[in-house]
Amino acid sequence: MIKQILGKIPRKHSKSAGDSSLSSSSSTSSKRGDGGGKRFSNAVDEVISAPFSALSTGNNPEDSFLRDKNLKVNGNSISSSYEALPSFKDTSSSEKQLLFIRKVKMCCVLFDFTDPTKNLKEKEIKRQTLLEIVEYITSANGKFTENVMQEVVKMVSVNIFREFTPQPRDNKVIDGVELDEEEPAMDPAWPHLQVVYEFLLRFVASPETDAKVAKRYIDHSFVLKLLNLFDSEDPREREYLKTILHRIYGKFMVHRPFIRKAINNIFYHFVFETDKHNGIAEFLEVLGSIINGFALPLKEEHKLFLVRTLIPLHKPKCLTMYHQQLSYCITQFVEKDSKLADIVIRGLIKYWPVTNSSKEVLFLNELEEVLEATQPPEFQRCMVPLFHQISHCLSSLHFQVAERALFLWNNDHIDSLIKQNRKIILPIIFPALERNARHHWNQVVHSLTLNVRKNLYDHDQDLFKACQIKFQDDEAKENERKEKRESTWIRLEELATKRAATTQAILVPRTGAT
Amino acid sequence: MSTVDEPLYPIAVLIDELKNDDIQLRLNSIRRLSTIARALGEERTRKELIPFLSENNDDDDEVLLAMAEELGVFIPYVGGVEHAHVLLPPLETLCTVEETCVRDKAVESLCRIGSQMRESDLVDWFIPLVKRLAAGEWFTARVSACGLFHIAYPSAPDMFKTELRSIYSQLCQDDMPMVRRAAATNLGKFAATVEAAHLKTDIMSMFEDLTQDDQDSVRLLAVESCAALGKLLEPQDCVAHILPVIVSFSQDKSWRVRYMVANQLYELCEAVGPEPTRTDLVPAYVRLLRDNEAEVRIAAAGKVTKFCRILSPELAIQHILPCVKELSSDSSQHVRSALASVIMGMAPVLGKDATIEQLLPIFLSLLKDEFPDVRLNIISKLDQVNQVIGIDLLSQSLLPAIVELAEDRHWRVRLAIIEYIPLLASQLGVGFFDDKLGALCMQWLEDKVHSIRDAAANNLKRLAEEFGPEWSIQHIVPQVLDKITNPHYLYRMTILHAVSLLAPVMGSEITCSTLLPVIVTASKDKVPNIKFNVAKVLQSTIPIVDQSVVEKTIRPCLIDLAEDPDVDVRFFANQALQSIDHMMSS
Repeated sequence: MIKQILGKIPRKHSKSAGDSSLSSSSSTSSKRGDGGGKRFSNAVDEVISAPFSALSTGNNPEDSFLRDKNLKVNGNSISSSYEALPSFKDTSSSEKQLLFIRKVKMCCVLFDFTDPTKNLKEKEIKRQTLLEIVEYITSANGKFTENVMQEVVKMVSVNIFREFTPQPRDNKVIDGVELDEEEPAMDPAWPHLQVVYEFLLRFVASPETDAKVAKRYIDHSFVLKLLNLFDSEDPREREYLKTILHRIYGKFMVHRPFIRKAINNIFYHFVFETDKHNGIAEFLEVLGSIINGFALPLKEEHKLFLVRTLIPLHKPKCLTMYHQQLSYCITQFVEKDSKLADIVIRGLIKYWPVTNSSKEVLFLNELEEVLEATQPPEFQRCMVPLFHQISHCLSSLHFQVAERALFLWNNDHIDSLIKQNRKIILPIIFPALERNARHHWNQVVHSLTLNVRKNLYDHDQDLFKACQIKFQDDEAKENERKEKRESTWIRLEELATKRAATTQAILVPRTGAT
Repeated sequence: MSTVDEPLYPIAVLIDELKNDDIQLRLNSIRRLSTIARALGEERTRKELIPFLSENNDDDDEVLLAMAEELGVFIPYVGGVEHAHVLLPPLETLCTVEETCVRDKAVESLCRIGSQMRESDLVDWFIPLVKRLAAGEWFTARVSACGLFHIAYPSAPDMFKTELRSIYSQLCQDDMPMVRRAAATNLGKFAATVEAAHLKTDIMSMFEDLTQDDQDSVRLLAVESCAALGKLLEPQDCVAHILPVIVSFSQDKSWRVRYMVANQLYELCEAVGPEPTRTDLVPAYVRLLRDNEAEVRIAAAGKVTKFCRILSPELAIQHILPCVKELSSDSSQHVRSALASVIMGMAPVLGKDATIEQLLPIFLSLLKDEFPDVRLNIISKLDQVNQVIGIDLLSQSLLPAIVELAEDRHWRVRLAIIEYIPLLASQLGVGFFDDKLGALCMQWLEDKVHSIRDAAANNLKRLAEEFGPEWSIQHIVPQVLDKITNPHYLYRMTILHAVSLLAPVMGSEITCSTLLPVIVTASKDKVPNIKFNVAKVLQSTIPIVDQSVVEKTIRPCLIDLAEDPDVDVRFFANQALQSIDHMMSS
């Protein structure tokens, strides 16, 4: 719960920042930035034991000269070289571009935010400069030159592409209280990062950025690194990344297949190898709107994406974190092409949780949404395995699962699908209903079951009675069947031993078993 | 039973069972595949069972996993190695499923089978399978293929060998990072089967590709093969090709890469020889020990002993020991904890003087560390400690640490220290134990946490075994029995439990004279839980004592309990009575 709330607050903010006019956004962002920074520095002092932050651990030769300067040189020597440049207002329009590039270059210097007392003046100068170039890029008219683009992308890359520090594994139990909801690790450099992201967003969105030229700098490698940032723990950062990725996808048509493929690769890595990623929900949100725009009839490639990527995303145990977005993507597909319902439902059954009840409830929610868009032919194709699964849920000892399964009957569309196919479905679910009606421990499940039972009984009494007789019959024979199974295996074992002892010709009559 | 007369069709049984809705039953029948195969005989297993399994792989992943595992040991059931190839098709299909566990198991089973197959069969069946998988449309097949090359390659004719190497090189450049990761993971194993000439050219170029991959995760796995490759190459080639890579990896911008380097740097020292170790690897390792990232320091600290063993003592003292000193006061307790778990191993490397002078202070400061894990790690290496610094010095500094840990507020820490008590007792001897530790052992019996009380009872049993019944009758038994009057029934239960554990160690005589009366008294307890535990304890003492004692003391007591108003007490009393009767009759 707390996580969700935490996740939502900054989202709203940055969205408004992204959409509103520049002046208001820059003032809100600066305030928020400061607050965030302060909060962080405290947290960081407590938790992070390593002396330097991610920013300063870098050993990347490409920008090491910048970092080394920050690491080793005191504030004094930096401040001598790090002075604010004149503002755009005081510059003639012919020199503005040159000044802009100088300012952009100035923003390539990184500061150590783990120490909140260090380089205060320079940090403020950089923040102001960043805000100025944001404003410049927003109000610019006339296409950006290639040189500008190159410098812009370089500055953004230096600032945002960094290694995330590992989650400190400290002290969880030391205080005697285990924190079940971990605070996400917020990047202390956010006051700068945020403006850099804002800058990138406006650069990408600007009508003055010509995609044909910019694609040389916003290239595959840039996109790939951007996608890797989605693993950030900081929800504010992921929110920006999401918006930016969406814009890039919209603007850079040439990158679209590459972006989809790269996201898929991240998903595979997550589903089949690591089980850990922070940005799945954000990816799915972007994909949700991409899927929304798919033309009909759906391309084979997109259907494969559904089967090979989206459906397996039901497997990881942290499904809760992104289920809402995933479910949206899935239902989009089914609503666009109801023939896919069968594949989707079978996929859900394949990944149906065995022991995780809260995940099971999510599956049932999604199932209802999918069934809502399912037509009778597809329904009939998957109903047998589906209702075996539903029958399991009905008799779940976890009341929320059983309850959620019983609620499916409240949906008129589903209820009518079931009634049309009652001859197949009722015999499958009858034992579960009967056992619930006899002795489910939970009062609500018990009475809901009675309602569903009555509903089915009223609809087709003969069928209901036939099922009842069969159920009683099966129940009586249950022990007999069990014994028979055991004795069969014992006989098989004897036969096997006998054969091994003699290794003679086959003792069992050759069978026509099919 | 009437069913005995019905004819039995093993395959039909399996088909029937695999149709069952209950996954547990399907799993059970897959687990008994060998029974079906033996009942069918080798020929029909080959001709009917295996083809059936090849087609029947639309089950739950759990069932498929079991199938992949069973098939790995199926060679005897299909008629031995000359028929082993019939097992390949079902496993090939399992290599392409989505679920990673199933694929991994299928590859494992294929390797197991392939390593037993005849050379000609490998060429006819196994190599084509590898090629098919490597050309698979979906990544699952290609990932699985990567794990099979080291089996296929050695017996391949030259022409095939060239082809296999080129296929592997393609896999290293596959479009999907999943496949490149699998190729990187298996590169070391594959390289070990490749001829030296090709090693330097083909394999090294694959390795270089992987080390420059744009995905962190791929480079990370390439690091892992560094050590394996290094060991295969001649020292000068290793210096030329691997050393620069590992040194640059040790300064990679990704902490994960540096972490991997820290974990296996020591393995490369032997491969490159002493001089490059001194000039390149020691500085790299020292950098890692001082890395900014705690995770990297944790990994590096954990390898300190292994690294030092390879170095000359001078190098270790000059370069590594100063870092160790720093790490012992590292700001992360996990770094200190990792260091504490290995540091004692350095003593033999450094020699006695350096140990006493330099290592001992570090060791003592870790023993006083504010975090229990660190202290525990030191104490758990007690036997090594003892050899180095001698018992007197040890007991002076050790005892306060133990006492403190024994009262730590985290029960897992208390549990850990209890488990070391028997070892401590054997190292320190009876005298030390009586003075210092005896009281602690009794105190744990009244811990608030059940697991601790349980462990305390077990500990007493192990002590009794270590020091013998005579010592125990003096130092354990009376103290334990005193506590049977504790007002809280849970503590009385612990004592009953301790008594039942002690009885077999103490032997018949002491049990009858000392323990049994206490148990019998407890049968008059007012709490039913105590009473049915008495019944259980009595049952467990039956085999220890004489027949006459059973009849005279145990049976009457149980008969009383069998008439208790509480149903559970009656149940366990009757169970115990039955086991008396059972013993009488046998």
